[in-house]
Amino acid sequence: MRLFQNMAISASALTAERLKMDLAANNIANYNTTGYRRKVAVQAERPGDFQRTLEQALGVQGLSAVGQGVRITEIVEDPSPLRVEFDPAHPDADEQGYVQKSNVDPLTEIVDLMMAQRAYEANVTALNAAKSMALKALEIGK
Amino acid sequence: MIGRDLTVRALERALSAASLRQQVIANNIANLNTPGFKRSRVEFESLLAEALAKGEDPSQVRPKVVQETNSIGRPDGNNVALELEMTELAETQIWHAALVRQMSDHFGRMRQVIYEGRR
Repeated sequence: MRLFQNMAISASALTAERLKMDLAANNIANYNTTGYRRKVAVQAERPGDFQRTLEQALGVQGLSAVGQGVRITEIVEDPSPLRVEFDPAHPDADEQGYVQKSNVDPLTEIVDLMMAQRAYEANVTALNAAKSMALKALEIGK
Repeated sequence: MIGRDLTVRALERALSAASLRQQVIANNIANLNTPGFKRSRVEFESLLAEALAKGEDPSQVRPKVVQETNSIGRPDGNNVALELEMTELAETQIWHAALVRQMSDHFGRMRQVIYEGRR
């Protein structure tokens, strides 16, 4: 039923944005962890079902020519260099006394967190709109 | 399609278009942060106006999903503007509620005719 499809689209986005917030929080938490590389989510539009793919291939404009939200395709590690700190007393220090910490930049993580939160709130509004329209439609003829 | 009542058929079409529009907007909002994503919109009112101008049957008009590939958007190619989507969402919700009200009023009038005619 198309009504619940609307909500499934917003729900997919809520899941994705929540995951991104968790990743940002985890990155910040591991700011001082030796050898930690920040994790980044790669997201893409969720493809429709087979019928939609078929319709697109045939060039037919069907009602199923609507994207089905978003999904996280993979979680990758940021390959940028680790932050090096001079701390000879640290158990993980090398011969010169340097420790390779993480490559987490707190500013980047906080910006990512804020963007994900903003998107989360917007998708909650979209979900509420779908719910309210479905409930309204139930009142037809009452 | 419900019976031969033109009003009901036209309203049902519009309700279907409103639901589709909400779905497309929901997908735009869901992909707010997806790199390279291009927003889509639903065309209905313009198609309806065209059909009326040409003298065609308005209840045969189907809504069309159009992807906006021409606008550049942000550096990663994403052209979803949150403010626009939220505004369109609010408009769609109100339009949908207005259509539901019209549909209910129509049935209410029919019911009144049936009951009044019985006396």
